[in-house]
Amino acid sequence: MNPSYERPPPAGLRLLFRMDWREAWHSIGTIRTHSRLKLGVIAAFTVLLPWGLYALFLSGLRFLTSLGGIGLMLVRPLFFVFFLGLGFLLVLSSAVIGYPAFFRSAETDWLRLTPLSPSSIALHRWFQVSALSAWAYFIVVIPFAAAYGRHEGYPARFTIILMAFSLPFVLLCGGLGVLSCLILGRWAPRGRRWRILMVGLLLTAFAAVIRPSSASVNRDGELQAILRYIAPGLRLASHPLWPSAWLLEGVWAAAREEWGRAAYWWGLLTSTAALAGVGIEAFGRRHLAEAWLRAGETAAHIRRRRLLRRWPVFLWNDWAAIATKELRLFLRDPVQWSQGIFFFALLAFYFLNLRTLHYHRLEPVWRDFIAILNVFSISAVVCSFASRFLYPQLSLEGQAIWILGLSPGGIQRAYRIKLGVAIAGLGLVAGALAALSSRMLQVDPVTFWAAVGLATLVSIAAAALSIGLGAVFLDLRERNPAAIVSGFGGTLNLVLNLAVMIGSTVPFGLLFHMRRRLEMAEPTFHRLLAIGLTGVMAVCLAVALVAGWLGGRALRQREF
Amino acid sequence: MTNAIELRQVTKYFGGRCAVHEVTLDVPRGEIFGFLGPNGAGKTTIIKLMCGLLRPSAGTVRVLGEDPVAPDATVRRRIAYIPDSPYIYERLTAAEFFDFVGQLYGVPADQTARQREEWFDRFELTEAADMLIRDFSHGMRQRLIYASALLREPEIFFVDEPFIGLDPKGIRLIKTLLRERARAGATVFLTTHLLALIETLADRVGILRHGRLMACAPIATLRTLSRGTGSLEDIYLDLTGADHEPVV
Repeated sequence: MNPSYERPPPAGLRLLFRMDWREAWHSIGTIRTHSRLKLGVIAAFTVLLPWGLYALFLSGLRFLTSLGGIGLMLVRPLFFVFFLGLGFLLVLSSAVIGYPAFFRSAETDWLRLTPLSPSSIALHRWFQVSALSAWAYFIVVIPFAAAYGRHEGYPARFTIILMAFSLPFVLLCGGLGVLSCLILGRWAPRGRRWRILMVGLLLTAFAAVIRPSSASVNRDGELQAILRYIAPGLRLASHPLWPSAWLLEGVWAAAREEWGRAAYWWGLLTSTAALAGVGIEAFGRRHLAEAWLRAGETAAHIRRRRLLRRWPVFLWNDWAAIATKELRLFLRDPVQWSQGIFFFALLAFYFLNLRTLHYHRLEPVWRDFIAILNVFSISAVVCSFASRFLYPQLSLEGQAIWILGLSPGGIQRAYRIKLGVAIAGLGLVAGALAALSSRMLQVDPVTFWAAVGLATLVSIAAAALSIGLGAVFLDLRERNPAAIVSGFGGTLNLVLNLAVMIGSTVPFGLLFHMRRRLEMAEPTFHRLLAIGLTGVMAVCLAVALVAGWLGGRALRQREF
Repeated sequence: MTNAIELRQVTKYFGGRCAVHEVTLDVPRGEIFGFLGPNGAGKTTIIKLMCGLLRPSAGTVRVLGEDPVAPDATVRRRIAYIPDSPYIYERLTAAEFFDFVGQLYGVPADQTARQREEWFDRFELTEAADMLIRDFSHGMRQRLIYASALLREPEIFFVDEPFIGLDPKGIRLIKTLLRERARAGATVFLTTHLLALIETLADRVGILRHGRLMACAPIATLRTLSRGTGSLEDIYLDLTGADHEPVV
C-alpha cells in the first residue's frame, strides 16, 4: 500500500486556488471555439455597458447638481444608500449561491472524500461564492465610481482606490452570506411544523418592516416632500456601523489625499473581512462535517401536495399534467426557485416599500415616471429570467422528450402547452408586480393600466421568444442549463429579449419625460400613450406569434 | 483474515422512510464483494454510509477499523469511492486532473508523473492527456477516474456500477485491475446489475431488497441455500422476490 496518506495533506487551499486558476485559464483559451455572434455580443456589451452606465450615472449626478442645494445635499446620502443596497444584495446573493455550493454540490461531495480539511473547503467556497456573487457589483461600481470621480473632479486614481476598498467589502459581505447559510445548514430546525413556523416568523418580520403609510397623498412641493420624507430616511444608510459607510468614508478620505484616515478605514474593512474568514474557518473545523451529515438526512420522500393535484381542474388533462409537471420541477429545483425569489421577490419587496420611502407623496408626474421606470425593471428581470430558465426548458427534457413526443397530443401539442404555461406564468407575475408598484405609488388609472399592460406584453413576448427559440435551437444532449443558455441560440435569445424590452419600454420613459419637460396637455399625452401601447401590443404579439410558429415548425421538421 | 468493513445492525432513515434496515455485514481484506439488489434497494446508501458521506440512524459502521464519520477519521484517505457518475473538473486536462489528485493525496510529484505515464498507457489515455475533460466521452471519464483512484493505491475500492459506459475492452481492463488489486491485498466492494460479471468477479455476493440484506455468501453457497438451482440470475430473482425470507 502507498503510505502517502500518512503524510499531512498539502496546503489544500493553495491547491484548490491553483486548480481554479487552471480552469479559468483553459476557459479563456477556449474562447475561439465559441460562436462569433456570442463573442461579438459579449465584446459589444463589455464595451457598451460600462460606457452606458457611466453616461447614465454622470447625467444623473449632473441632474442632481442642477437641482441646486437640495440636489447637492442628496448626492452623498444617495451614495450611502447605493452601497448599503449593494452590500445587502451581496450578502443575500452569497447566501443563495452558498447553500447549494456547500450542501447540494457534487464537487463538494467529491472533495469531502479527499484529505482536504473541511475548513479548507469552507474557505475555498467563501472565495468562490464571493467572486460569483460580486461580478455584477464590479460591473455597476466601476462606471459609477468613474462618473462620480469625474463629477467631483477627483483624480483618475479614485476608481482604483474604490476597487481596493471594494475587495475587502465584497469578501466581508460574501463571508456574512456564507456564514448565514452555514448556520442555517447546521442548526436550522427541520420538519414541516418548523418550516411553517419559520415562514410565519419571516412574514411577521416582513410585515413589521414594511408598515405602509396610511396618510392620504399630500400635495407638497417636490422640495418639501424630499426634505420632509425622503432625506431623513437616507441618513440611516450612513450609520457608522455599516461596512458600506466605512468603504465610502475611506474612499473619500483617499480622494482628499488624507492617507492616514483612508488607511484606517481600509484596515477596519479588511480586518473585519478577515474576521469573517476566521469565523468561516472555525465553522469549517468544528461544524461543517456535522452540517454535511445533517444535510444528508433530508427526507427523500416528497409529500404530494393536494394543492398541486387540484389546482388545474379547469384545464384539459394533458395541459393540467404538463403544467403541474413544470410547476413541480420548478418548486423542487432550489436553483430555479431561489433565483426566481431572488429575481422577483426583491422587486416585490422594493415595491412594497415604496410608501415607506414616501414616494407616493411626490408630484403625480414623478410618480408616473417612477411607475414606468419600475416597468423597465420588471421587464429587465422578466427577460433575464426567461433567457436563463425558459429557454433551456425544452432542451432539458433531454432523453425524456419521447414521453411528450409519444403522448396522444404529440410533441406539437406538448410544445404549445409549454408555451401557454410559460406565457401565462410570466405574464401573471409581471402584471401583478406592475400592479403592485402602481398601486403603492397611487398613480391614476391611465398610468396604472398602461404599466400593467406594458409589463404583461413584454413578458408575453419574452416567454414566447425563449420557448420558441429554445425549440429552434434544441439541444437534447446537454444536461447543464448554463451550457445550453450560453450557446448560439441562447445568446441570440438574450439579444432579442433585450431588444424587445428596450424597444417596448424606453419610448414610454421618454413619453413620460417629455410630458413633464414640454408640459404636455393631458389629451395629447393620453393619445400618444394609446398609440404607443397599441404599437407595443402589435410588436409584442407579432414577436410572440413568429417565435411560437418558428419553434413549432422546427419541431415538426426535426427527426428525433 | 481481518475485516476491512464491519457493519453491525446498520439502519438508515431519510425522514420517515427506512432506506437500510439492520444490515450486518463483514467484508475481509483482499476480498471482492459483489453487492446486488433491485433499483432503490439501498446499495448506494450503504456505500455512502461506509464512505462517511452519510451517518447511520442506528448501528455501527467500521471501515479499516475506524468510524468513517468520526471527526478525526483518517479512513477517507485510504479508500476510493467511484460512483456511477463521478464528479470531475471539466475544464482541466486529463493530466492536470491526475496531477491534482496526486497533490491532494500528497503523492510525490515524480511518483505521480511515473504513475501517470503507466496508468494513462494502460487505460489508453496517453493521446488524450492534454485534452480538456469536457470533451471526453463517458467511458474516457470513467477510465480517468479509475486511473486517478489507482494512483494513490487505496486499501478499499467502493465502486458503484463500475461498468456503465465502458466498452467490452474497458470492462475487461477494469475486471483485471480489480482482481490485481484484490490479490495485492485491497478490498473491492462493488455494486452492479450485470450479474454475469459479478459471477465471474466476486468472491462473495450480498443481495439487498428494500434495505434488508437477504443473502450474503459465496455464489456456490447461495445456490444451495436458494430455492433456485440455476444461474446467479435465478438466485437473484428468487431472493428478491416478494415472498422470500432472508437466508443470511
